[in-house]
Amino acid sequence: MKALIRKLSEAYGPSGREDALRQIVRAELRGLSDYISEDPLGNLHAVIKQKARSGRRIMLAAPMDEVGLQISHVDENGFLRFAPLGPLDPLHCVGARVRFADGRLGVIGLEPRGEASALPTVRQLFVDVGAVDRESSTFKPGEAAVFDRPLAEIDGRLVGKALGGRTAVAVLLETLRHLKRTPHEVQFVFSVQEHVGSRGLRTAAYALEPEVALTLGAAPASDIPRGSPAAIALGRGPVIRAREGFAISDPRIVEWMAGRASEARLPHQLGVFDTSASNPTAVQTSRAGVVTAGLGLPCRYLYTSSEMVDLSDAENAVKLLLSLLASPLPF
Amino acid sequence: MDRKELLALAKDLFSAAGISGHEQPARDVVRPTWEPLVDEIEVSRLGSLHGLRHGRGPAPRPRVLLAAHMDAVGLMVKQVVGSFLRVSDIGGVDARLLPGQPVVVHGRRDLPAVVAHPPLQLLPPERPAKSAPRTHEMWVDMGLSAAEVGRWVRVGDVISFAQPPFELGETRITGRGLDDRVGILAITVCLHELQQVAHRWEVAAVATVNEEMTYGGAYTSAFSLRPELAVAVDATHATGLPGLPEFKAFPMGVGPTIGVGSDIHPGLLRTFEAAAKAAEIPYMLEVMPGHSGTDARAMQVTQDGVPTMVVSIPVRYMHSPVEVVDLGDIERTGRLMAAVIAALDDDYMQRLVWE
Amino acid sequence: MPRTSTARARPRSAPAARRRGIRPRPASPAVLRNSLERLRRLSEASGVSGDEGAVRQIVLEAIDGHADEVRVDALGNVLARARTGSRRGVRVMLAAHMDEVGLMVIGVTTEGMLKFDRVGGVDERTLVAKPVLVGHARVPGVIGGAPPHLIDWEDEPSPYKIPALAIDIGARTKEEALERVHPGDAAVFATRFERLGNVLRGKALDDRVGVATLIELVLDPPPGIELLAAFTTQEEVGLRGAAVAAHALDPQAAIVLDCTPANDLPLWDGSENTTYNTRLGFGPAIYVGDRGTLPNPRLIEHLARTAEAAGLPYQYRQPGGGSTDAAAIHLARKGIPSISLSVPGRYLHTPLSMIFFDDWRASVSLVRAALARLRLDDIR
Repeated sequence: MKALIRKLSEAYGPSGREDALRQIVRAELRGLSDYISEDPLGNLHAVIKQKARSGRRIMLAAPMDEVGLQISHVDENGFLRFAPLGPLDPLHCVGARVRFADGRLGVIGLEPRGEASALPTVRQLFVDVGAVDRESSTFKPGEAAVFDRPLAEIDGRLVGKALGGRTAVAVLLETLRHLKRTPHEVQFVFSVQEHVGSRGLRTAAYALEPEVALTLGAAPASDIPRGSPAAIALGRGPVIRAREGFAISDPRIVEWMAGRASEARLPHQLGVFDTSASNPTAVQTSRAGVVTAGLGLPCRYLYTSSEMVDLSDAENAVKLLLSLLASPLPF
Repeated sequence: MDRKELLALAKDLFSAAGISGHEQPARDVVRPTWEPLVDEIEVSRLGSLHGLRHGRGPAPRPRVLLAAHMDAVGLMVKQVVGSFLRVSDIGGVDARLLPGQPVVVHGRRDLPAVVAHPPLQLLPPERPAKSAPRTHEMWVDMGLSAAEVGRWVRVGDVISFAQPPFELGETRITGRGLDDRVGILAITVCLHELQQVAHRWEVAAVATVNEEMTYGGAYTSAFSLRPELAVAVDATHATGLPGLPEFKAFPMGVGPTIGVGSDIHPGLLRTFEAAAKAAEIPYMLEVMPGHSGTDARAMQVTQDGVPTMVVSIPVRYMHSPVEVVDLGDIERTGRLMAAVIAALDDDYMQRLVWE
Repeated sequence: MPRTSTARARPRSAPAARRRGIRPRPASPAVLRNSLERLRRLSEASGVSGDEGAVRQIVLEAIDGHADEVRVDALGNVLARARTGSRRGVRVMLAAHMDEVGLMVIGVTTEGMLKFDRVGGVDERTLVAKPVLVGHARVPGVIGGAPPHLIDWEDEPSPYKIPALAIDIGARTKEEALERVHPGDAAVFATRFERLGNVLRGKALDDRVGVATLIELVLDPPPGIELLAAFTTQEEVGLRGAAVAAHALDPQAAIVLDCTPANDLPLWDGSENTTYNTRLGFGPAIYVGDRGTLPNPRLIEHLARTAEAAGLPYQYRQPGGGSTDAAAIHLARKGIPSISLSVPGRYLHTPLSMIFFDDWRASVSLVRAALARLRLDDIR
């Protein structure tokens, strides 16, 4: 899974421009499902058709996009001003390297500020692409960039940009690859524009009409100095989310996941996330309703250029999903 | 339905838990109440209760949906720290009413507890001494050992206010969850009234879930029931407390409010006003510029769009354990809806025009 | 490589159309005169979100006899199909919103003053000392503030907030007021529409200019596509009409015609304004991303290329905040590729907004040209 995660993490895919990720995922999906399709917004669906009458239509979704920025202005000296795409934190932009669609690089700089102790704002940031003036610049408003970081390994853990979300994608692909027996129709959705409010998920849910949905993504881990004693931690297993923003997970699913994880002796954690850039209600309130819950991959330093995940959490997430899909739902 | 029956049902409903996303305890009270009053009953995928009265005459019959939400605001266990709980709020609770508040933690068992706001020296030093308590500073204490807490309580469990309902004065009752169990009661009164009425239209009585967080019940029930018209019956603010903004709160005991604003179809407004006047039911106009904050907001934009109305019952101290309502207002609201439904005929939708 | 408008200090004037591109057919003087007159009526009409009747009437009269399947739906949207020869071309929904931001009377005081609240994002700073028109009868009123003589200027006064304001219609008592207006009545600014050369001034140019453009397109639709027109309601209070219109029409693509802020005022210190959103005089604004929609890059390309081939000016609207009906439309059903094209306007959501006639006409030409050469490849 590590090689796959590397390929996914290093690919360019800001919200709304996920072409490169689609290509990688399509290549990985070849031969693995009963049908693969791309919908009008760019989501990829790979569906395993229902086998048994006891089965249900279950959607599993993971995000292909990542945080980034969009050029808003090329100033008279060729510096680029920008607007965030998704939950881009100005604090984590300072000094970061970014990459545009065609591979051109830039560095994010910060204007000199009067009050140095105040947090930087997006207005005070700019991208330096080495241009000397506006006339010779070849950049345009709307072009998007993402952090530029190769994947690294630190003592068994992985560090990279967009790692949380892309590991969730890898978890889905691995689950699909190892899925042998299931009574259910399983709808694997590799979604677009997740980080700007789960826009892709909304239309994918409308198209596929699942009865149950598990949304996968990065869950913020705070097992760091002065984090809470009861924080979500790396290496303690995937996170069963009881709440993600406004979406309250269906308690029957939470019970199902927690129960199965305990029976199978898989490490797992329970988490409540009051805010989120994602919006699982997009699925939950689709059509006549979808019974929804979230499964998160613990991830430190979320939305920075060095997100950190523990591979064991991803492997346990795959095991949990396979275990859940193997038998009918208990409700 | 007489006053005594209404009061008894009110006490049952206001005693049931049923926080947003976990509405089963409330549904368990509403379902047996509605079952004898409707022809079909079912539970939606998200847990909303649909009770369908068929109406007279040949199919296809047009359908009106009456929605009141059964979820109430409360808290959720965010973290278990030893024998104490950190919580976050569900649906919008003023943190200032939490200190010292008795609550029930709905874990593997229902556990009585109290919400504690720590003394200043146990809070971060940079926190200004004078500032109001915040939800994330609270501890919920069940008085149990860490081992017992670990056994019965899990992250994600919900917590409701423990306040039991009781009567206030001659005509009023207080408790928690009145928003919007008073709407459920009004729909119940309406269903009782309709037993005596030969109504043409089908009536879908819906106890929705999740209004306080996502309007999820309203969106999904309107989608599956495909009504011609939809009415949200909710709680609105009552006057009484000094200093409330003018015209945003309404007196108790003089009937429901009927909504006007972008969430309401003006033709439906005319219909409701005419029915109220004909049945001599007092009412007030409630102006809601831009949005109503009710299930109508979701139902109005389902599929190809649905003409919607908002009827509200004044409630004091909303989103607290001591909400207050006048029982007469619930009865008037139920009777008003029954009067409107009784007058709906096959041509109503043709006559429902914008200008 | 073609330059963008942000790369120049002055806009490129529209040259004669190039041979290899398409030639935008300029509107005849009669069409222009009618359109301008119609824009005047649209701008002055009262149509606050949820109460768009007066605007709806103008739209229905204008397209009566010129479009098929005209209907008014549950939200008050006007939906129509333009009469083109083609039923085989791409099904494109064009949307423009009929509603404007405004005020709504929430109650009447004992002295006969009307307390009100906002409908949509009216700029609160611009309310005081303005004339308004209340209700369908357009009863004149004013929103007044305290006279400067009676204010303690030592104690720095705070900005006016709505709860402190009221509309005065000249009633002496509550009863007298209620004879002429009612709680629930909407109020609009009393601004008259005016043309001063290239400048068009009035209220509600957001989005009556879009409505005017869409009417023109319905009356004279571009060939080769199936044009589904949606004159939407309640955009300013949550894109509500557009959501159900898109669900009902289920098009293959959508273009939204709106009016977007031009914050092209000077910076206080004379340094470069880098957050203007759009600028007057630089042509229609192509959206590359706002808070509600990230349009498919191919659609962005299509509009930009079309403008260049047709010799039309254009600019990019800066990405970031704000939203249009596209946000609701593109998430309808299984997803509908959508993009917005707006006329830049100063002082939107205030009593007096301002657009350039040239920017408006260029937007009409651009959307016409873009529709005429729209293929499915451009969308996905």
